[in-house]
Amino acid sequence: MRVTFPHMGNLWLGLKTALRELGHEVIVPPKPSKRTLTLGSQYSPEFACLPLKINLGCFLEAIEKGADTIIMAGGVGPCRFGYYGAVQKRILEDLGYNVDFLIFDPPQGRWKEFINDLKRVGNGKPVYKIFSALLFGIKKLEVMDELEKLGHKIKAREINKGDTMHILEKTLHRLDDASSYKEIKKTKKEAIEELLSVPRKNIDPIRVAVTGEIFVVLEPFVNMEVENELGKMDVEVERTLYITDWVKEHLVPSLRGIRKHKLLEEMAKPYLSHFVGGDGQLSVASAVIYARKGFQGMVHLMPFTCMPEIIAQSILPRVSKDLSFPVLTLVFDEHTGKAGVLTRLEAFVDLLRRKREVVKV
Amino acid sequence: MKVGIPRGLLFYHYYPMWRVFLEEIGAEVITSPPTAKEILDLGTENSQDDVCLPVKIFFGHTLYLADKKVDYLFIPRIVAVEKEAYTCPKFLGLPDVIRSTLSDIPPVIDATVNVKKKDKSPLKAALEIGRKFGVPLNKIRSAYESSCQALWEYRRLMLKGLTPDEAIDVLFSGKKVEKKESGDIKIGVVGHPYNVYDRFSTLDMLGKLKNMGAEVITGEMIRQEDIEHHAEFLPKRLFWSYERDIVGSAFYLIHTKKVDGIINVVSFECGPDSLITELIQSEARRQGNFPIMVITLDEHTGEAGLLTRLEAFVDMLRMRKR
Repeated sequence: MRVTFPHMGNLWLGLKTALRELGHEVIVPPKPSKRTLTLGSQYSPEFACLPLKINLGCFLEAIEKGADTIIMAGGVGPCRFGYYGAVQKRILEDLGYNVDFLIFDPPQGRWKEFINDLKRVGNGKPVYKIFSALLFGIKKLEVMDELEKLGHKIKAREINKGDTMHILEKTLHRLDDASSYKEIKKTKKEAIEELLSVPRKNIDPIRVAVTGEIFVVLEPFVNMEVENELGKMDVEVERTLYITDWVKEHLVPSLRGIRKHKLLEEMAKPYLSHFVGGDGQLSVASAVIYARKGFQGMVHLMPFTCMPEIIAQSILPRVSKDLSFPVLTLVFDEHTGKAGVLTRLEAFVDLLRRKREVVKV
Repeated sequence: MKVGIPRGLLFYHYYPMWRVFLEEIGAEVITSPPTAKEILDLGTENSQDDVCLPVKIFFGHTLYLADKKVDYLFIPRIVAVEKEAYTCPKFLGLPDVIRSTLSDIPPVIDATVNVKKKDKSPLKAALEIGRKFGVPLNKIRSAYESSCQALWEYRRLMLKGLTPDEAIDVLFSGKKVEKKESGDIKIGVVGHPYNVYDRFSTLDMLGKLKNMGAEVITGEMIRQEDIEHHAEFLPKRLFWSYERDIVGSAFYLIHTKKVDGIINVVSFECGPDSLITELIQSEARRQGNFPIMVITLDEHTGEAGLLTRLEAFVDMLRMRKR
């Protein structure tokens, strides 16, 4: 089978690695682009959220490149994401494409299908081999996440804007090629050295948290590279969610994960005392957490018509007011233009700078 | 003690139940009047742009009641009404959104109903509310039982072909059940009750269809077992209860050809609707191009445009019948 999957930030790196280890022919869809978005929007329901449209665009582009099997995560609500696979399958069928969908929902009694799908992904390999393939893929993602975290600190201070970005991109491809843990380790070490040798200014940057719906936060094409743009304005970014958090939460629930969850619920409670699906509660909790951490502000990213984030967006103004913590919500859809996003970011950063100066005086 | 029930969102699903319960535990129930321009304006001015029209309308009703000096607002948090499904995320956060956005409103009764959890059953919610007002346990229990009966009676009346408003009139004003008029064509109207039955936001679509001589069948007039059965045709169990009912009703009408065509009413930007409308339309196409029309509502929907579309659809159905 010639297998593909949707893009979400660096997710492809881990999935490609794991599937390749299992002996599959992997067709990574082209990086999301204007074309992906156009193709996806053309065949998606008008008010579906951006992730669905980009996913569908990715599938169409991967099918062009010969993919015949799609791997997709599912879910049981209440966020729409859980039903994407079912709808996308129907759309592709109606368009006349004959592709297999392996949608991984929580089994909920349908164990037979679930195990069948798992077996197909496992490609006849023993269970331990499947695990080790997955762990190898996750390891690469972990390294990339760590480097990006460091990168955010450097980006805000670098003298030649773009240096950090360049190193991270180069590392991403070197990690893709890495075929052993040793190679991963070596790549990581070298990348850290390179990052630390980037010429930097000695400044105390404004610190901004970036939060919101995970797909928009993790996919730079969709969010108009908001993190990079902030870096160019000498702003230090801390992202509230990373791809490995998501993978781990869905694959290997841990005690630490549960504790973290409890903490988030606790923080959001005075404003939003119930989960609302997706990352809505996280967005509200993040405002509380980062206000306490002494950050200057928060950028909240969401896809147009995203239900959980609309709840968060409705509540954030109150949190912002109570904690005197500026929050900028940016809503993305296929009509969003980069210039508009940049203008709003610049205005927001100006506001944060002025606010900090006033406090200092 | 005056408790206000806003006439929006889940009102059309549960009003008789809520009202009977609250009255039997000794509250005076104040219900906001049918949506009107002032109520919509109140709502749109005081809510976020990105929330859907029904939520904006709900904000309007809430503010209307706050202005009437009720002691409490009744806005329960309906999380799950069946084990395998949720409601839309907006219902999960509704009391919080209301409290965060509107200041100076009366306290909100926000008991949670989540049948996935034992301690969040509707009965537990009823007990919580009753205890809050110091009502004796046996009285709360009997009030809860009457409220369940009222809900069954309400649903039974709608199965006879009454709209929720008509059924509420029969239940509370002692009106007689009127015989349903028939028409030369039958049209199924499917969508959220808070859209379909809000005469203001739909610009009285049901009345307009009736005036054109069409007989209307809505989702609430279809038996639950038929809805469940036809919802099984979905490729994967839908995890929103109310939306599953809408798909089940639409599939039932498409598969059985009980109507000549279907109007699917949705609100602009509605998340769940965006997916289920796709599924309903695709099913209609697959079943021999069954006639279907999607009407999207928002606060800018114009009367003339809507009327033209309804007329064209009705004409088309009549022509097909000949």
